[in-house]
Amino acid sequence: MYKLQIILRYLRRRIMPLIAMLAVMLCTAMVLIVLSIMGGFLNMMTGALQRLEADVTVEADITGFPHYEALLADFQKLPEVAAASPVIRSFGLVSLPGETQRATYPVEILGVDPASLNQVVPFESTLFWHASNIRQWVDLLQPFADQEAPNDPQRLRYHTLKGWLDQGSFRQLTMALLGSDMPKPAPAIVMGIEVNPQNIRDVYGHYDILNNRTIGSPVTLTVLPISEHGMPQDPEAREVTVVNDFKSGLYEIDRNRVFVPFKLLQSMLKMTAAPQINMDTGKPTGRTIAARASMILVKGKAGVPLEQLHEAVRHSVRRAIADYPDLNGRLSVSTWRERHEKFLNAVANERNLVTFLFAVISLVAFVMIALVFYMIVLEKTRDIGVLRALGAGQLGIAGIFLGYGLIIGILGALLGLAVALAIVTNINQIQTFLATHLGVTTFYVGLELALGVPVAAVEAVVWWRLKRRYPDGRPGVWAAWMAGVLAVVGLIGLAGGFWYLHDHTSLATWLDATISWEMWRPDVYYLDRIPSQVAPVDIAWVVPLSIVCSVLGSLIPAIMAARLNPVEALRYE
Amino acid sequence: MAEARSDILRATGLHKHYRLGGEDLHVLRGVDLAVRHGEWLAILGASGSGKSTLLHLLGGLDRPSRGEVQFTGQSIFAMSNGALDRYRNQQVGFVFQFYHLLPEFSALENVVVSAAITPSTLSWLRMRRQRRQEAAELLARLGLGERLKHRPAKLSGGERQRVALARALINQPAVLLADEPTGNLDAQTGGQILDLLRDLHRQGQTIVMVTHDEKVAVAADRRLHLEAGRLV
Ligand SMILES: Nc1ncnc2c1ncn2[C@@H]1O[C@H](COP(=O)(O)OP(=O)(O)OP(=O)(O)O)[C@@H](O)[C@H]1O
Ligand SMILES: [Mg+2]
Repeated sequence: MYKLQIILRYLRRRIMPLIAMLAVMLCTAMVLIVLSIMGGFLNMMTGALQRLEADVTVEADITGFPHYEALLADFQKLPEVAAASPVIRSFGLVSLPGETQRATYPVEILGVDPASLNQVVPFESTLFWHASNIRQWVDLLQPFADQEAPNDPQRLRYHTLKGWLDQGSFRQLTMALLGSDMPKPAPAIVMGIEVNPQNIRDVYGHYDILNNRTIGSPVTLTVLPISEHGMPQDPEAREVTVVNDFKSGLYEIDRNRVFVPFKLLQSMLKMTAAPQINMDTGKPTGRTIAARASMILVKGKAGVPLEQLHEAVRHSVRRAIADYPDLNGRLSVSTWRERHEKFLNAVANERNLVTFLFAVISLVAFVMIALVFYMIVLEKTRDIGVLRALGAGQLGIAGIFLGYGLIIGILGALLGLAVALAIVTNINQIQTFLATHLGVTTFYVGLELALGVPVAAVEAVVWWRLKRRYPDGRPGVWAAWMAGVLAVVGLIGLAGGFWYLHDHTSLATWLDATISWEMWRPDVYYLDRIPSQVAPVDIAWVVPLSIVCSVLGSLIPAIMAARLNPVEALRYE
Repeated sequence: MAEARSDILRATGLHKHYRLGGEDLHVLRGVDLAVRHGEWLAILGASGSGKSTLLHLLGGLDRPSRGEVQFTGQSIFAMSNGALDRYRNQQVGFVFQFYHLLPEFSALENVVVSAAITPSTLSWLRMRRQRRQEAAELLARLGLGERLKHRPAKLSGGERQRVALARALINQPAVLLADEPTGNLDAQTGGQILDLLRDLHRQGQTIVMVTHDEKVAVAADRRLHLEAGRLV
């Protein structure tokens, strides 16, 4: 029983337990922070992948495959399948309107049926503009509303967007526009948010709305139809209206992909059903060429294992081939895992590497804790001798130090958890602060130091003089006075600095631009923000592990303490 | 038989070597000693003669190189570790040459710790209040009633030694082993401690006291001299 009493007393009285606790805290916090941010990045990447990819994809080469309606119906009948959606995938060009001349970019074009697509992947939630973030944009266009020229592009955009906004849910409207074959004013297109290079992220990771010149504007889409035999035909161009942007979070995708209505792309690529024409005579043969699609995306029902779904779809495809011999050899069926094996393996590799790093870090933490405990034991050797002399057993002494390690471990780990949570959840704010306000902060800190250090130096001299002249004086009162003076000087300095900077904003701007530390550039990286969540799973293993490490770290010193000879310990200086 | 009963502590052929590097320091060279029940025995000796060493062996703090110590006829170094721990805690009260109080604990707690060592957690929870009360009374009896909450650093040498004495007495030991109890004190405070020991002795406490000071030793019933590693 005396043990607990001694542990608690040692905790309160010495600087050593603070150091030990600090060591545990820092190690716990470090592991959690690194784990959260590294793991967060990987999760964001895989999450983005899963937002983009159906569970199982059935696809053909770029010429596409016929009888997709029949296949689609077959898939939808499978008990394993929740939804399926046809897609046409092609490549082409978009030409964006510019100040002086149009800019043209190569893109991957997906012709989609948004209603069914949204059942297969969360398409609607990847649409970037919704009622609240588009409204401020429309408000900015307001001044153009009453422009004289009826064809002024900004005026047209204003009215288009305003009209859409007034129809209620902006995203749902996007889905409707993308779903209908011939909407007004022109067929719809949804572009990856990074396709338009003017769409830049600022240092906060936000898209600068004013530079976005595409949403609500017409752009030109050009595709190259490929005949069923793989022959390129004359390019097809159409004017389409950008009804929304989409953002998956993966830069490569957001930079290259656009979505248009399935029917539109099908007809532009001449993949619709058509009467067959005899090449030699130029006359219809009386047969029809079936309409084509290039892939079917399939989503499994909840709880159905991916492999089982894969097998069911494959089986269904085999049956379809029996019915339609012209499908033979054209279709491949793959799961999202297979399609992204390289990436997923890289992620797994990364995790393994991180685990290895943690093994090393844990070892360092362990040694650190063991060292601190060793020093505590040294410091307490005489007490150990006393307790042993008073009749405490070896187990009792070991118990004291193990219990000490346990309590320090618990407190340190919990503090570390608190620090990690505070840092990780605010990491983006910290990032912004370092990138944008470090300059002014440095100015204030420098100002305070420039004022405070000389004042403190003078006070030190005064203190020394007072002490000599009034040896029986009241140091507490002097200290209070001096602290007061220092505080007043500091406040005056702060107020002065604030007042000065207020009138010299260019200095503030210059400072912030010159002195800044960008640990992360949201405007250039693939992802627009730093992951800022600590996973409960990570907490669930890191915190107990730190506690265990702390107890293990105290084990060797505890054994050492227990084995001390009481007389030797008493003689220890 | 009657004599065996009255010998509470008996040492036979005690040898103690210290090995310092290659050198062998033969401090005790066959000490024989019998402490009778209720007597006050003083062991005199020059500094470095091995008085503390002998007392440590009697108190079970250290093991002899050769020879044995019997407590009421039982060899203490043949006991299990646990039994020896209990012997130190329950049968022996040790007053050190240099107080050796726990610096983080108040006077009262320093005494209570000694009482708390042997009992199990459960039984301690039951008796804690009473034992604290006893410790406070004991300290009050030694003139420290006003100093219960003070830490050792805030106490004078004499006060510290009295706390150490209270700590040694709290478990009502069969033998009080006092190593130079007055050695670090001025004559007056040393005298106070001696008076306390005298009171204890009158109440029947067996005391073995080590000192290098003849004037202190006269208070005892019997004096032995430790010379060249033997008692004479
Ligand atoms: N643990 C030890 N290791 C080595 N030598 C020791 C040890 N303990 C005691 N000695 C030596 O043994 C001798 C006897 O020491 P001890 O402390 O018993 O003397 P003492 O009679 O109590 O002296 P004093 O009156 O100064 O307290 C001394 O020479 C001391 O240096
Ligand atoms: Mg001594």
